[in-house]
Amino acid sequence: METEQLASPIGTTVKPAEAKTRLRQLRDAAKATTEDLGLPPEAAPAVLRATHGKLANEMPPQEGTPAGDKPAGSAR
Amino acid sequence: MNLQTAVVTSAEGASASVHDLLVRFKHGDIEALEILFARYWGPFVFFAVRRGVTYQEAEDIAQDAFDAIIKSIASYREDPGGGASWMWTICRRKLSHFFRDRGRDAPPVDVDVEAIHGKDLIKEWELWECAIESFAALPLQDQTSIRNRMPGDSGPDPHAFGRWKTALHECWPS
Repeated sequence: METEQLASPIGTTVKPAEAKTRLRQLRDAAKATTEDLGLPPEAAPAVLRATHGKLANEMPPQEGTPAGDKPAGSAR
Repeated sequence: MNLQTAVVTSAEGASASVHDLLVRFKHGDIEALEILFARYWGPFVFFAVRRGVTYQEAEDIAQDAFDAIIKSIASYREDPGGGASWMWTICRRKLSHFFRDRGRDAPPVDVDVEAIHGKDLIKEWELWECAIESFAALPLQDQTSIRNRMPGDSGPDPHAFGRWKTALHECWPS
């Protein structure tokens, strides 16, 4: 069922396989970052929470950037 | 403090509600799923660890829970919406299945986890706080650089990651 698409009431879809792959990428990146930080592997969830636990518009605005705007070069 | 309560309180304290994020994901916003994963991967893992599974097993259970969330999101009710309760129900179900499949009885959900692991629990909780607070205290440019870095390299700003590492280890020296 990996290729099945999940229908939503307004017609947009999320591909489960794409979503699962994205979460595994996030998890693996967090583990690698945790290692780079010199922390034990069990700290990976904390690292992921720190780096990706907020929406872009929940972050404090930087100088010259209106509140809520994504900074240039941001992937999010 | 009960770890599950502590971590969940932290997750709920953020400004975007779990319900809002679930609805956004239901309507195709992958970033909302990423944020939910960032907030609940750890709580799900710790929840399972405290019920007697290994860390690796707990990671697998948490991953299974998110796979189920992805699979079930189309059926998530937007009104009234379960939010965090809906997610925890899925996590508990996956943990229950884990024990059932191995012929083991799952420990009670409301067990006093602090009484089981004591110092380890506090140590993990302090690290959790240090990681979040030290990252949040960085300039936005540093946060963006770190978020966009690839594992093993220093990111767009080679000093940003170093600043976070220094701040984090000052907060959590062990």
